[in-house]
Amino acid sequence: MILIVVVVFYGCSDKVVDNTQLHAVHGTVRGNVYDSGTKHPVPDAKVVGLGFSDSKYQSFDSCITDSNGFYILQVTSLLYRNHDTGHAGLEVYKEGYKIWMSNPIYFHDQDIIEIIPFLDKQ
Amino acid sequence: MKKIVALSLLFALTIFHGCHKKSVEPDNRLHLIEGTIWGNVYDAISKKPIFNARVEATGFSDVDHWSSDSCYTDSNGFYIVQVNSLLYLKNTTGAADLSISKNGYKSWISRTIFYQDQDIKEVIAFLEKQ
Repeated sequence: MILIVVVVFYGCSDKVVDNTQLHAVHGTVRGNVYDSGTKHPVPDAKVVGLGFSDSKYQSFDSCITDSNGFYILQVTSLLYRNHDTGHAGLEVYKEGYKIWMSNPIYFHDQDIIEIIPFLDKQ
Repeated sequence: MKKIVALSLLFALTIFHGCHKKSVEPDNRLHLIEGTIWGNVYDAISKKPIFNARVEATGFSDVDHWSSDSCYTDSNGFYIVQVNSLLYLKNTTGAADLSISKNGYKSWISRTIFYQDQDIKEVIAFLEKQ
């Protein structure tokens, strides 16, 4: 009798929590891009941010560095309810330099993360 | 005899507990929690700073009173505002909202910003063109 009650309760409580619902986690990635040799800022570099998600959806954002090598991007991950950590990737392109790719960047909602890429000459 | 002593002791303890509880200050006293919010405002596409955008902060309170502060962004899109929440003693977390407006852009409203006393929170806003 007790076993039946426990099994019924477990079944009901399992149905209440719906982990398949999606929610968006937003973050900001910013920083400056430098030449790895001279350590001078690299202007006009294209910076692409990719926000990875639990579903097929991915968000992209991109910009061009200013005269100080500064960039700022928004990243978004669309996650299942039981996850609260999003992750993103950063890629930096500039003629005459090798492509720079970041390690995975993990972020919580509203996080502001600073990443400083150093580009190697080709 | 032992029963009488035990019951007397229990009675005394109950009275002491009641009195002791009454001597604690009620939780309905108010205290002020102050915070600072700063950051930069950017164009969502070009990522260029937005100059002269109006930034308004509203600090929410447990009572009718709420505080607001506002300013305009500078040439770097930079702003800084103060927020205050007047809360009951049992609450130590304040809450505020930020709203940003600029001609030619959709108005931007933050999610609720939670803060403890003396917190300095950075909030970056990206505005979309209308």
